[in-house]
Amino acid sequence: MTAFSPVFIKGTCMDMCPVRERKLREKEGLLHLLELPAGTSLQSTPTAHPYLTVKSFSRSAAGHHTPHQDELRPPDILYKTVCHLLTSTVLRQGVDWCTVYDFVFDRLRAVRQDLVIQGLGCVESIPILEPTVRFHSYAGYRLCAEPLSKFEPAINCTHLLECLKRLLVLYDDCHNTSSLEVRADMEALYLLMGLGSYQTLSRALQLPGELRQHPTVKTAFAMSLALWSGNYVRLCTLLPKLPPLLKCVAAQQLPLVRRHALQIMSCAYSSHNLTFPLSRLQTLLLYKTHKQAESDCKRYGISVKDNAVMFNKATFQPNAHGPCLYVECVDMALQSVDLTELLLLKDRAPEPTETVK
Amino acid sequence: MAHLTLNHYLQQIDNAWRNKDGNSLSDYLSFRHGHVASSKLQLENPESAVERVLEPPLDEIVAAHLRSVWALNNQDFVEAYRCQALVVQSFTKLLQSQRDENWSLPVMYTVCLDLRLMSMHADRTLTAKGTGRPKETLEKAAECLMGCFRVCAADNRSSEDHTKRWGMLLLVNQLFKVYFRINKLHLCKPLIRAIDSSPFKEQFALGQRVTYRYYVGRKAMFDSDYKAADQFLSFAFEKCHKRCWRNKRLILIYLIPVKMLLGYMPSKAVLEKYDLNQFVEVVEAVKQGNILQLNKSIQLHEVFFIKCGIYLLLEKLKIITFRNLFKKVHLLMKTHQIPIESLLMALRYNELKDIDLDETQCIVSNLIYEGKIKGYISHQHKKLVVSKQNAFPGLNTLS
Repeated sequence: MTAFSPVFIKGTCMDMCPVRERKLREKEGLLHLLELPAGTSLQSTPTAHPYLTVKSFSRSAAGHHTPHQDELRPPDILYKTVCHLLTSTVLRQGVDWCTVYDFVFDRLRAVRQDLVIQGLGCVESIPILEPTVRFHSYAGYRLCAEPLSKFEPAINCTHLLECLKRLLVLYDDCHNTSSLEVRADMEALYLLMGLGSYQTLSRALQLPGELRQHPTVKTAFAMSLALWSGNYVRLCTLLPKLPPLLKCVAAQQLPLVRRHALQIMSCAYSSHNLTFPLSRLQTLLLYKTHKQAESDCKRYGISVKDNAVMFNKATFQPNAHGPCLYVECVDMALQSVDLTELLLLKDRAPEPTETVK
Repeated sequence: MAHLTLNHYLQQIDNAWRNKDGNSLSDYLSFRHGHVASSKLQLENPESAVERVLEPPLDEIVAAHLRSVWALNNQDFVEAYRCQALVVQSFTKLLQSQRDENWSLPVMYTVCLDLRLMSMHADRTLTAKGTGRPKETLEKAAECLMGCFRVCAADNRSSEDHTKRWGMLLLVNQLFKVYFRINKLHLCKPLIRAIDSSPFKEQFALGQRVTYRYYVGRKAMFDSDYKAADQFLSFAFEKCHKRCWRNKRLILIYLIPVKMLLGYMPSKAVLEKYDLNQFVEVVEAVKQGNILQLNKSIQLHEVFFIKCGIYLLLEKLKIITFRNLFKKVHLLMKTHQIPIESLLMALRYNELKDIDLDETQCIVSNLIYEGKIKGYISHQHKKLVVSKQNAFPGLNTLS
């Protein structure tokens, strides 16, 4: 059978940002703070630095011309761009991390766009999608306390899932393009994104034996299976056993787990005179402080008096949404990791200034 | 049939075509008919010979069919599939051009079935060669089937006797088979809606309705709608022809766990009759509240349960097993205030080693929440207080 294979453009741009865009943004004063050497004042009209400017995302729309060869970056430059973003940029001091997030998010999106336009396959796509997934997983946790105006968890989650699902399809299509360890992390991540869901659980059941037996996948699977039968206690005891990045992902699912738990407890411990100790609830559902546990309870219509929870099935508010909160064991784990290593799985990559060209 | 000549074969087709004899025509385009064994019909380039006898657009279909027969005899499944896809596409056009008549539906059934079977062979070849995505051909076959389906579904001007909408259910069943195999169950939804809103819903051939209910039942099961799954699968099982032992067994594989979740346990005789011994110990364990044995038998037959896609359902059966175990504790202790500690001991006795009081309370909480235990937990006294009447309501009485 002769498969119809479309012809894709091959990029020739050897910089992180095509010359034309760089010139344009320089002229129009559209350079991002993070594209300038630290300490540059924004008041002056800065010059674009070829090693710091990164191609920005622009939605393909009617009226846009098809990108020219020299506006697209070949795979190795794309990978270098990802490394640049996830080393020096994410570690940049003195800039609000929300700003860093917006910038890296946008530039990574442009990288993915180049990937798609050039129709690149698994070998080129996987090394780019993996760090992107990690970035969104980490950022979702780090920024969870920010107001909606600065960080939108739903959008972050959509992009995370989009990259993750594409990645899983690529894993299925071409074997052995990624190490077992890395793939296990990604499969576990998918399990955690859909805790207790039939879909993610059955995917995990179909995985090859070596992946299913991998300790990280096993833990994530056990957590999801626990929730499948309602066992929130087991889920929360297993969470601390996950590696740091996966802890971040699991922590972002905790609001759902807590709501589920509180709903069930409201029914099982429903009473007018009996109470449940707040401190116990705090430990069970991994709240950092008893204040957090208390305010979450109140949100769901459960009254708390003198550190005693009074469950009542009649007053439970099933439509309330608890916020995503920082979790002690996750914060501890993140303290001792190197961010670049977490995102790129390697020691500090060489500065792109020396390698790009 | 093995010596059928090309001329004779084409003559037969021409006759069937002129007489609007859908059944004969479908035989002559089927891979399960004797003519495919004839060495005289295996032609690499049959086009010119066919054109001399048959008129368009039939010639295109027949020529592609003969080339497909040739390819299949050379074990070239990929080429055979490509030709069969041509057959179906040309047929779809033909079908669309036939206004107010549906005599050719049997042909559609045949070419569509062959297409699906062939695509699976082609995929196997491609996977063995290491080219192409797994199940890629099957997905493409689904697109061809969809083309046919659209023609049938859109035919709403013809009278009831002549409408092609009678062909919808068979195609839906074929598409279900593909979607279940490629694991894209969400694609079933619009098809179910199309059949649900069809006025012939209950008038399609019984066999087709059985197949349809089997797949819709399985879909409901995956969506955790066990009541609906029970209805569909029960219909399929009861109406399935009693000689179709294999099909009845397939239905039971899903019906059994669904029924169990709703509180109905299968008899040993049924399990033995349909060679489903994998369930025997599972059923025993659930009935007795024996978590240890349940875990062991799930583990023992893990491969089978995963392959059938019921592993997660069996996991849900654990909840019922817990309920049965706790009921035993309740009966033994003869009290309405059961210490959580005693329940924990019962669980530990089942070799659940890393379980603690918190998790025990969690399991009990879930049972109370689902209405499987009538009562409440007192955390202060570490006790489960159950209702004096009907503390463990029958599972089949729960809504």
